[in-house]
Amino acid sequence: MTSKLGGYMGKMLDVNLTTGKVENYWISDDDRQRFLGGKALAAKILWDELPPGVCPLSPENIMVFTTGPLTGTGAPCSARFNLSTKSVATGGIASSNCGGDLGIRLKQAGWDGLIVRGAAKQPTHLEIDGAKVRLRSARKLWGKNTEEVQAGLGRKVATAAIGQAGENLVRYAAIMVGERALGRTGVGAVMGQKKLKLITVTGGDHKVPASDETGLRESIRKWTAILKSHPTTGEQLPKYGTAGLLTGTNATKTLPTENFRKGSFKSWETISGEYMTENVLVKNSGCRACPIRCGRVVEYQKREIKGPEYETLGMLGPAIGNSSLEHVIEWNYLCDLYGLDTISTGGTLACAMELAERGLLKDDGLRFGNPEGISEMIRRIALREGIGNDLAEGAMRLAQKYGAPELAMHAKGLELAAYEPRGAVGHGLGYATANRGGCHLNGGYLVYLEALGPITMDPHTTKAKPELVVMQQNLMEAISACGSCIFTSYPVIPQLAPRWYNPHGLTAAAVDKVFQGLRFVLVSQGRLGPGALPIHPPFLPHTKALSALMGQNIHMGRFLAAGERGFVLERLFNLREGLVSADDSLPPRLTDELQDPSNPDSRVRLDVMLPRYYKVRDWDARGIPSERLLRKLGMEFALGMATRLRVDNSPHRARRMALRAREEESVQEQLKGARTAAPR
Amino acid sequence: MATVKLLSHMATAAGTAEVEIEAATVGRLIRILEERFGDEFGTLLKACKVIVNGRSVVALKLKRTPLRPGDEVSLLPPLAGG
Repeated sequence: MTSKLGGYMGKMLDVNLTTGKVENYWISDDDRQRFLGGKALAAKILWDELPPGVCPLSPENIMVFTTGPLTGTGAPCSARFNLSTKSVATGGIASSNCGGDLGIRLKQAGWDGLIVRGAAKQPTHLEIDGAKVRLRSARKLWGKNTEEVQAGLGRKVATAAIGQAGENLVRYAAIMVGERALGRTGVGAVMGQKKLKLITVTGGDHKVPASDETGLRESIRKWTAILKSHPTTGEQLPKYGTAGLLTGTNATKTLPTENFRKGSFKSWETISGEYMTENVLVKNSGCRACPIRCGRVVEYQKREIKGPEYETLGMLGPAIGNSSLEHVIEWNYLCDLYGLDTISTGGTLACAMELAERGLLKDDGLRFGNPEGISEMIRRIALREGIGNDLAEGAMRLAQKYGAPELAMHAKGLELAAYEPRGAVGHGLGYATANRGGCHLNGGYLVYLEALGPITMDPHTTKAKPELVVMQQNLMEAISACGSCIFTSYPVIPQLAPRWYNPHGLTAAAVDKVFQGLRFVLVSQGRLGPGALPIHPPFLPHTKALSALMGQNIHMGRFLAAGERGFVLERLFNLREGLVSADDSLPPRLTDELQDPSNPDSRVRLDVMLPRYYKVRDWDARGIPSERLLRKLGMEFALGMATRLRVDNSPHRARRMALRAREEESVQEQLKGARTAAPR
Repeated sequence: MATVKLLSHMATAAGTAEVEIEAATVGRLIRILEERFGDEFGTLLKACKVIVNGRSVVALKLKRTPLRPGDEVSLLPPLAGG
């Protein structure tokens, strides 16, 4: 059952590490049209293949790597692929998106994606060479860092490897894909439990089939021009990388400082993107077919290595009180070597520092602004040595253990990214409702509309924020599903000529009112369904490119509906696994304490925004998607589960809580046997 | 005197990252900056958000936002990342 649609190779690879069996995995064109690919399609595969209640660190958990239809077509910024699994950080869905070469190589090898099941007894290397698939011993690689594991394999081989952190099941272990990372949600730990040290993909010369090759090339040409002419994708990101954002988050008080106690940092200049560009930048780097090239190569101790991006700068900089760019570069490099997510590493260190400041955690070195001992602490986290073993559990579990759970800056167990949401309250709602936990991208990245982008609105008002969060979450889910980089969403907010828009003039006030008034329009559109927007907006070239590629009219309505399906299915997956509406929350520091005592709106009013958010999404008061919504989206397959969740009452909920507790016990059992020795 | 932070490429255009300016309102401050740093800077300035003590003037009184001694005003071009 191959595909009649352009953009797909027609099959996925299905590998069972326990049995060694290698099979094809087939997806229907119906699912492809409904979910497109990426994280949305991965959610459908998880829904179908993973029974409820599976321990994330068990052979029963599965890893689903998916590309999107645009991956490997030459469309701008379309080197992306996704990995979804059950999260060891949240107990809900894990999804992590990555650039680099792996997604493109998979499609060249003839695969739309890869499913990994079971667990090997010995360290294993999964080798994909076109249609040939082999499981090889990786015993000699076990205990080695990601650079050592990936070295010498050649430019034609795409790699995905775990370091010692993944081997040791650190809850925020990453998978390194060359120098890029499947960073968030602890996917490296899931790979480590499976004893899968390395995946390599090479071979094959398959070309992604396009229904209308000429139309696709024309769309790509126009799309590239849009990205190059927009101030963020054409100027800021190429010039300063994502690091250039730090200047803006600091100015708008959205830069998390000292474990999110403040929103700006007095020594921001020495870790800014401008400082990096002027002092250590060697050159830009980027994925294949990317006109933005946001990656940085910097000089560090007479070597050229990957420079930190914004999130890393924020979380290993101001979040722990550090103002030294050189230290951030060093720690970023160490995290990559060990295979650790830099956001969660920073968030956990910040939490540990505040615990130490309050005398709850005894470690003389852990102090805001003290860089001494951080490199060693990163090593101890990766190897789960001493107190590093506690930090390897992430901020939420660390703070619980030391008696101050309120000091963990997380949502659903995943550490928040580098935006202080009291300076952009809609962004806070996004954190609380993101399916994978405290993620800015899965949350809809509202800070762009609230504080940073070319056109912004009042960042502290709660008006229209639920509607805009829903719109942005669906849009970003769709963009991710089609295989595009999220950065291609930025031109959705165009740079208007000064005669039309002045960001400090009356037009700014008018636009702010228009944004707030959008709440009526967006709700109406959402109720009407996928057919309500049969247009191809010029600022969103994805729809035209997809239509030419797939041979279907993927207009704006269908595109957004695909994103909404993915988001709703991830939500149902979380509910099925025992998460509840109370998990759509933020730490009390962000919801109850004012960031600026002179501004009564400088806190995240979830009490106001969350009920409205549920209503806009057509979810009930407990955050369960309605039957009407599921029928509107053509997700009848989920009606049974949704009904069971709706009739759920406290005993059921208690059972689901017990399920989560049992899962946690299983995880702890796995952790006991997981430690490996690694050289210093 | 308000302290004006010229951020990102605004600093390159002005040749300095920070200036002190005496102005009663944001509107007056913008006019002084345009006069001091010229047309090219003025063009870039038209796309900038103005942030007074961490708050966008959109949420204050736009160009009529009063300035007090010691206020920090940031001129912020559009940015994104993630």
